[in-house]
Amino acid sequence: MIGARVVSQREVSPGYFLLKLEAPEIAHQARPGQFVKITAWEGRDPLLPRPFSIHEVKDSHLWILYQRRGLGTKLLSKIHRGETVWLSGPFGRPFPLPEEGSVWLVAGGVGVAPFFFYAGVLRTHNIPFRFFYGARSKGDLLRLKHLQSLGKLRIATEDGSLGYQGFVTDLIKVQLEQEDRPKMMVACGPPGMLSAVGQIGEAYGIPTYLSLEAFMACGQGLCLGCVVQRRRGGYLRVCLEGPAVDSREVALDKLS
Amino acid sequence: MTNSVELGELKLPNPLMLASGTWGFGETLPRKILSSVGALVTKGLSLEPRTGNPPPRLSETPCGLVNSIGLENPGFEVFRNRILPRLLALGPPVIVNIFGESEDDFFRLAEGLAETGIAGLEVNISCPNVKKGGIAFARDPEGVFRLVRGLTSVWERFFSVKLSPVGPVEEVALAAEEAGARALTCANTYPAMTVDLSRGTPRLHLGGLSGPAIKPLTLRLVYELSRKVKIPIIASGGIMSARDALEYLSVGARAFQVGTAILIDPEAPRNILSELDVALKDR
Repeated sequence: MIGARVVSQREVSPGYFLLKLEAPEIAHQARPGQFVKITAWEGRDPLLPRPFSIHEVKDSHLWILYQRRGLGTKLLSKIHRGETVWLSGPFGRPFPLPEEGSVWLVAGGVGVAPFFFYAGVLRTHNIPFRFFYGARSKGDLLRLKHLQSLGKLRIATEDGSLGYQGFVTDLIKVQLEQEDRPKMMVACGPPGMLSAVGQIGEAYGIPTYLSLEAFMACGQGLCLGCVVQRRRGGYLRVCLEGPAVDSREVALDKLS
Repeated sequence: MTNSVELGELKLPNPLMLASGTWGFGETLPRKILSSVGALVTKGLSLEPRTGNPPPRLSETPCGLVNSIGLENPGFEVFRNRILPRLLALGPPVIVNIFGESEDDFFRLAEGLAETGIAGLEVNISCPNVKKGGIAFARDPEGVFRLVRGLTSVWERFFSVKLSPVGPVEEVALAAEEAGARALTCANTYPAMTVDLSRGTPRLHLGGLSGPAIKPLTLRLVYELSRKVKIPIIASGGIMSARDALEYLSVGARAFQVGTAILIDPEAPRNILSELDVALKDR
């Protein structure tokens, strides 16, 4: 663990926070799709550091976009500029970069977090991509302006307050019938969405990677605590074989 | 300076052992961490591979962690051929934690490990998250006596019996000692569960609680047992700092294990050892 100075933190939308940290070593090593673990409190309660996907990286800084959910994120949300948090990582496998063809990024809710970093790297590599982003309502879409500046974006909201009305998975089904199909899809969001994107990818024969989430202790393959069921039997460690895994590896009906 | 300790015939370069199931098989840990410790106690090994329990396998509680991994491991063959050679090359004594659903499983594992160069065994009679074997032994002092006595006929070197902190602990400890155990590991996790209140059902049922929450409980157990048995006690329960370790050592433990602390910070064993050096010098 290293101490990382909080450069800034702000609530970008009610309950959602954007944290900027100064952590040169980790920032230089980090690849899109990887995660870090953060402790932002003294003492032993909560006991475990919390895992967060890396939202963006620039020079010696990295950003975390997160939702305040439990005690850990509640304490983290109270940290101010100039304070220090404990940071370790980066952990996990990076998102794949296709040799040729385009990638579709499919995000649901706060699952959009790792895709800002990914989109930037895809752009650097001249890999064409399209961005699909779904949320319950317009107000739940995070950092929308910034997102629009990253590339082609299609929005889906369940209540129809912005973009396509319905699930983002319905939107990509529509698009797959209308457009050139991508060489690969990468999805991050709630388990039901991931399962649906996996099924769509398999139905259309498009390699699809699902960025999984699990409650996690060590984050580096020591405890075997963060597993999901592997389709051919046994388990995958989200921290080590993931977070993003080929959908065909995962027992999609067991995601929760 | 040296803090070497002797557990009967087993000499450790220092009293800190990595607890079973908290460091994988070392694949992802820096070598400097693994090679600095007094001993490496492997993840529970069974004869056949075990896939472990379905998720959720973890639940956090105040100052504690409840796990239900279910002894996922690759089984004896893969361990001996592909994993053990790498562990032995790290330097510290390797102690293999063995688990069986029957007495015979334990005996066959011990026989299979006899010629492998390991320093000893830790006999797991206390895993709270499997239905067969495991903690069932811990309720049965006579069964433990038979198991340990049987083991001594196939395994002649160091072995520690890893006790459950619940059940007739003292009777089990005395039975293990009388039957020939060379040390006791005190203790495994506490049987525990957590509830998913939104569904009103157990979130994690066959769990074991570890972490700072259990330290005062296991501390007392070590204190009590150290007054009853003559064989060395290896303490294991919520050690996060050198101070925690010193508390255990001062009430009768000869060595200690660090587990949950590694999951929080893999540097914890090294930090504890260097703090311990300083503390012992001051005394």
